[in-house]
Amino acid sequence: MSVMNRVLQRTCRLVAIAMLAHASAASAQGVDEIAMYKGPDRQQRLVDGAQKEGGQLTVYSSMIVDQALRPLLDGFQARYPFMKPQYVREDPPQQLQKISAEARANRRVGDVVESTGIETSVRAANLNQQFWSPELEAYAPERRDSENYWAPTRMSYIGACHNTNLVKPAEAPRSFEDVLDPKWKNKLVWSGNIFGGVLFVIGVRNFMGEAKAEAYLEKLSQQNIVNVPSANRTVVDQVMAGEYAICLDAFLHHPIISARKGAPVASIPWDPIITMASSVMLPRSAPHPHGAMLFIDFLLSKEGQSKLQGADYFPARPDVPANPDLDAVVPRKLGMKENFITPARFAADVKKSREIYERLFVK
Amino acid sequence: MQIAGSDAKVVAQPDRLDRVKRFDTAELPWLVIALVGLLALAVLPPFLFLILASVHEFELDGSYGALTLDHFQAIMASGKLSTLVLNSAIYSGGSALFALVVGATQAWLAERTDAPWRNWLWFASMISLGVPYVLYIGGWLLFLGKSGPVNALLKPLLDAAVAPVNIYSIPGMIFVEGMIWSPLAFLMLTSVFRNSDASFEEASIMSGASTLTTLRRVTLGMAGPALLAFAMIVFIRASESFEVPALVGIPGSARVLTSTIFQSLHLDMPPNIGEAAAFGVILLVIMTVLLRLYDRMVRNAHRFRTVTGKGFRPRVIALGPLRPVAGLLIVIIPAVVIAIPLSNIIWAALLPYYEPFNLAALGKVTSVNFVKVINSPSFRETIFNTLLLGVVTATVVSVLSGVAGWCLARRRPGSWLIDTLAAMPLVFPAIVLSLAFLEIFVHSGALYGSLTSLAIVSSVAFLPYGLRYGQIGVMQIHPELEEAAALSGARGWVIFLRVIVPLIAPALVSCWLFVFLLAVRAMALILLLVGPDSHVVAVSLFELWQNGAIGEVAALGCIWTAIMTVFSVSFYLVARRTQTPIG
Repeated sequence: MSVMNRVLQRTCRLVAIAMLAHASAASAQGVDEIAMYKGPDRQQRLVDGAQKEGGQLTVYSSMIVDQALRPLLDGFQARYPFMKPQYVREDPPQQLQKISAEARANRRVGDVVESTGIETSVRAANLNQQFWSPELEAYAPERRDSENYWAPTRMSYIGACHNTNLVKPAEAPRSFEDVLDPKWKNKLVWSGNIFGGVLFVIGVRNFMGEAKAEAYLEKLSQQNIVNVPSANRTVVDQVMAGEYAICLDAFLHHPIISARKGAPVASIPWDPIITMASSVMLPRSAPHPHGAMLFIDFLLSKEGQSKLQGADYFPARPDVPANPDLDAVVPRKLGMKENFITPARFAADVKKSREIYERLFVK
Repeated sequence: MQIAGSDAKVVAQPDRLDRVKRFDTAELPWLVIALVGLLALAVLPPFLFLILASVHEFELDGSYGALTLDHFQAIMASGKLSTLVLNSAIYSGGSALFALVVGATQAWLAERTDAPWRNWLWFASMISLGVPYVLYIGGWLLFLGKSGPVNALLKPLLDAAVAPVNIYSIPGMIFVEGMIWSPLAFLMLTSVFRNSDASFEEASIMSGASTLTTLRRVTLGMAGPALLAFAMIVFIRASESFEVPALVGIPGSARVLTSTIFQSLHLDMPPNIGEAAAFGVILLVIMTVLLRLYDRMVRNAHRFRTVTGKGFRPRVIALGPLRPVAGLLIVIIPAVVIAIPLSNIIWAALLPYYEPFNLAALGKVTSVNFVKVINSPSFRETIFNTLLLGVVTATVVSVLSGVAGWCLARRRPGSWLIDTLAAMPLVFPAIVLSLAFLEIFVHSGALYGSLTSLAIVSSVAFLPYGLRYGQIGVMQIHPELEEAAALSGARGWVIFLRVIVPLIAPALVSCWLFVFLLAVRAMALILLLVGPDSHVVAVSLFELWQNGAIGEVAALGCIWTAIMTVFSVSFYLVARRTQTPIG
């Protein structure tokens, strides 16, 4: 009897699992259809669908909450008053851990993911979904993913900055070569995180070519760069406080924002400027796909991008300029070249660059 | 009639003795079983995750790949392994010793002497525990860093070319980590000193020993197991700590075992937690050995029972001419432990951007950071969530600690299992525990992303600390009190609630407050688990800090520290009114 029971139980469980799998496959199909729909009634279908979803929407983003994410969500809610957007703010590595755990458990919470540097990992793990938005037309094809697994939201320009009390602006190193001068030995710092020293190595390899980059980095390692294992922004803060003279891997708008308040710090863009884009992605089987697509449209639109401009980010959309005082580090305004690290390049180069970084710069 | 009566007495006596025996053996197994079951449920899933994560590769989607020993090999192969092990031992041992000396001195002054202003020590510790973690370490780095006021002062004095004090070194790490633990040492040890019987000290002095000899041989001798237990906790926690080795050690190339692991965690996308897990496994082995040693040492714990049935009267020692010296210590220690980092934080909160203290900057003082923080739409929700998280965690841990501590201290059958299970979370690196619980909660329906899930993780993580309170509390109470109650007809639970609980109340109350303060500032532990409805202060602070809003971090830190201080002081006053002295 008990054996019978067990068999019966197991059969029930198997049937239930099969049904669940079927249901999730069906819903994935549904998301696909919604995300790729291009018909003239698209907007109406999305609004109707989002209302049926109860206006629910959860955004995972790595933007600063009060400065950018909340104004963006408030703007979205003003445009669609029935929407009730929620957010979780995390750094990219945690975002990746979270959405992969959600996918494996088939317990999805995030409807939209906005992040930096995780695009190819997300794609390779089959965690996201192609989508189409009429707003995509406004973005240059070389900045987008050809298959539309992600779309750019904001740009980042990475370069050096210095403490203006410790290093006079006229004396600051103006190029990748300048910084090799022995007088900068023991005065340099960068972040020991993946977007710090490792990204710098990726950037140098990307524009110098392998052999030249190796020689250059070898020389740079003689300068005894201090590794501070925290976010790039906190390294800039330490430069401002006078703990270090020059940092090599600042997000170039950060020193400008602080200098505005009077801090003794200035950005020094080096040609070509290391450039990255953050992206928006649609998780596979997002629980509220209509709301998610409405939000993606908004984020890519002129209106949404102008919210990022107000937050001192660099909007990725070409027809929305950055705040005028940030122009001092925008490559095309400076007549400098962009050293654009595409998500694919980042993913392909990160392993070797990390090895080089650890070999040369971690003592 | 009379004879019959005396016969009846003779019959009744073995019956009562029987009851004592039954109380010892028969009534308790279910309690032990229930506790073991509960602990196993809470601890074994993350334990299993730790083991599996340490021997597997991870696939792109985060699932387990092939079996591997690479993570262990990576640790073994990390360049100068023997140097790293030695550095780790020096750093962890140094931190434990430093925290213990500072904490025990304060606890002894506060509890066993007539030193002036000794109540302030208690408040000072509360305030320092209320200071958020990132600010505390940051405060010290800014104070003792190259551009900080100490070096600015010493450099011309010593006519030195480079900054004379280098915080980015092993001694610097010991100092900061020791500072972090010293208020905890103080709080944990006050209840120990409070409960130690002054008659031993009096006997010692009567026999001609000096105050110092008495302190060394009697007071410290009696507090031995508690001091050792605490030193062990700090040693283990420091061995696996990431923050201080990373923020203080790595910039100065002062490396310990965890520095390498921290770096590989932050240079991989997604973070490779295999090495961290492998390290956790190694620590688990080391801790098991340490716990066994500790267990052997406290096997003779009856020597340390100081609360007996013959009257319990802790009494203070008159310091005499040493009183001003003690007063000076009471002023200096809290000044160093809290005033320096706290004043740095207040300074940072009042400036538009951070700069070291200087008179010219006084003109820039502004309230803009406070206005921004208070006007943030999530301000109230975040504070409320955090308080709720702290209260729930502290209550759960205190109840469990009282019961488990009793079973442990009385060495009930099966209590080693309770001890082992409850101590395990000590060795789980926060980042591994966090990921383990992410895997568990994401499969658990409504719990995922909820405040309840954060409370569960915090309770598991802080149980080992609470348990030490419970165990030490009970260890000091002589079983003759329970035997007397049993002889008078009381049953197990009644004895626990009416004899043990009132006697260990000070320890449990301290335990509650202590766990509360730890739970509200834990960050790495819950970072991955926060959902849209469970934003908490520690995570907001971390986010602001990561994004360079130092002024706002400091402002929120000040407000939070103020709330914690008001909270702790009210708690203290209520406890005093209800005559439950806090340790």
